[in-house]
Amino acid sequence: MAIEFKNVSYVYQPGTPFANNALTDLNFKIQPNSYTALIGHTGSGKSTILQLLDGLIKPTTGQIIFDDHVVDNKTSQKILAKVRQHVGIVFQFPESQLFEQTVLKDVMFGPLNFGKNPQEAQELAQKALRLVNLPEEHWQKSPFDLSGGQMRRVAIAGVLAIEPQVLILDEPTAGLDPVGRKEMMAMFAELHATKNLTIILVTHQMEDAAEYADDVLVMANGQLVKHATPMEVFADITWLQAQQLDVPHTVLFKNKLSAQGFDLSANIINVEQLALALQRSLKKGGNHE
Amino acid sequence: MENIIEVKNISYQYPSSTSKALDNLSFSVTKGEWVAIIGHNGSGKSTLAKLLNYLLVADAGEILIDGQLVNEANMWTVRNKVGMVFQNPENQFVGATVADDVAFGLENRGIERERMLALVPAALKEVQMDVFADREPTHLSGGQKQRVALAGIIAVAPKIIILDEATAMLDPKGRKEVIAAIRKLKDRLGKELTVISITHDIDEAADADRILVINDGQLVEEGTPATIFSSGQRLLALGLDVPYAEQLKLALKNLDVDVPEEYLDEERLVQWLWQLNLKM
Repeated sequence: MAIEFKNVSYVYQPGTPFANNALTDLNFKIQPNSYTALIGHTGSGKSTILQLLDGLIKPTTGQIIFDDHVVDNKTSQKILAKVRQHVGIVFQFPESQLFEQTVLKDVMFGPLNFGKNPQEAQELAQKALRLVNLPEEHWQKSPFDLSGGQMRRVAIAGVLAIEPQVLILDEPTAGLDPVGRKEMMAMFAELHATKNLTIILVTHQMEDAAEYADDVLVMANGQLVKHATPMEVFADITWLQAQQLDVPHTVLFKNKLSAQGFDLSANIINVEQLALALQRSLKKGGNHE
Repeated sequence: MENIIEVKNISYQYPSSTSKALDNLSFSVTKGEWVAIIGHNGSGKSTLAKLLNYLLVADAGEILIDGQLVNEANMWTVRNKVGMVFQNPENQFVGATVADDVAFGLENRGIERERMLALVPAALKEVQMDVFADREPTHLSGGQKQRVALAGIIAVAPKIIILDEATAMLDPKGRKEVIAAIRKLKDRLGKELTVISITHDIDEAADADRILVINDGQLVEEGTPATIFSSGQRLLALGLDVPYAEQLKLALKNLDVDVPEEYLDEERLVQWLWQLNLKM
């Protein structure tokens, strides 16, 4: 599914003394099957974009085009509900939303809510639980008896069970340990590759954005300040720091190497790329033994 | 040197569990040390923190805090010596305002009002939250909330502060604020404050005096950050992160570049690579 923002602005509490411009004149397009990272410091407008993407709020002005559905200020709840069926959103700490008696019932809630019959809902739930690699032995347990990482997988399965075309992830690895983080990010990469899901990742982890995304949107003060490839966004230290964003570790380290005298390409943003460039540079010097 | 914490052969098993959360664990901490405890989720780190403060009671073994046995008779004096900051900033507020919240611990200890009037602002100032004294805690950012929680602990002047993944739920800015506030406090109090930091943030652990690695309820390694990080591949196998310099070394090793076994911090790795480059 392609999503296009056309001159989208959003004002919280418009027409009151508390009116607050959360988003100003956003224009961008998210391509089908892309993996987009949405970054920006806290308060830059990322969460407002998420709510717009999921049809939880409507733009104050401008349009959002989801394939053939157009959402603007006057769009009915009916259309928004249709959009929501195609866009799944995994909120921060999604395990806090688990509520059912069993894991399977919890995951079935979404499909049932979108009008599937119990048989269909159960099949969708089972499929989703397999996608998140939650072993079948846990399906009849209470979700509250699982570990934190497993609970998060259940919550994500609940979103996948509605078979969305777009999956929005809001800080999906926050609070997980290093292995949990890696497994979770690998799982999304696989869903992206095998299920043709369009992924939008909201993150403070610049390493993740640099590693997994093919497109990056950078927000600051409610405006889109950059829309480019990870390479273009993350190679520019001065610009990132001016935006108060973290610089990927590789880029910082490469800078130290350049200051020492190494001649390295600007197109290096992850550790594998840097290791490869160093290996080549070391070889180029020739072996004098 | 004086040991402020001595943990001797402690074991603990949760009633609902079939295996031990902590299994015959022993270690000690010197007065004034900053010790990082690392281990994957479920390794027993948080259980250990709760045992130190008598929030949980060990099945076997004993713990001495500042020379005093941790047991039911001593639990209140022990808790006066050990302050804890937990992971979730939302779960540790009781006061209607920031200042009330900081005063809560003092009220609990029966400190008279006159002294509270001096202690609360001083503690808030320490974490640079004094201008927020009359605000509602709910309107603060995560980093600010954790600093208020820290102020509540500073006010009762404990000898030991335990941070139980206190920065795990914060954004990078909030994380830096909290770490900076604790560093500042530690610099001011020097040997009078001991810090135990349970963390997944490997860069934070790298700044500790010593690191304990816990896996399946057992102490598997302990040493200075340099010693611990020199076994990079073993840490990765335990499900832990390694510092960036070590990640790069491993990536180079995978490309058949001969890299030194010892741990190099970033500056030394740059120097080592440069020497190698000149030699080639």
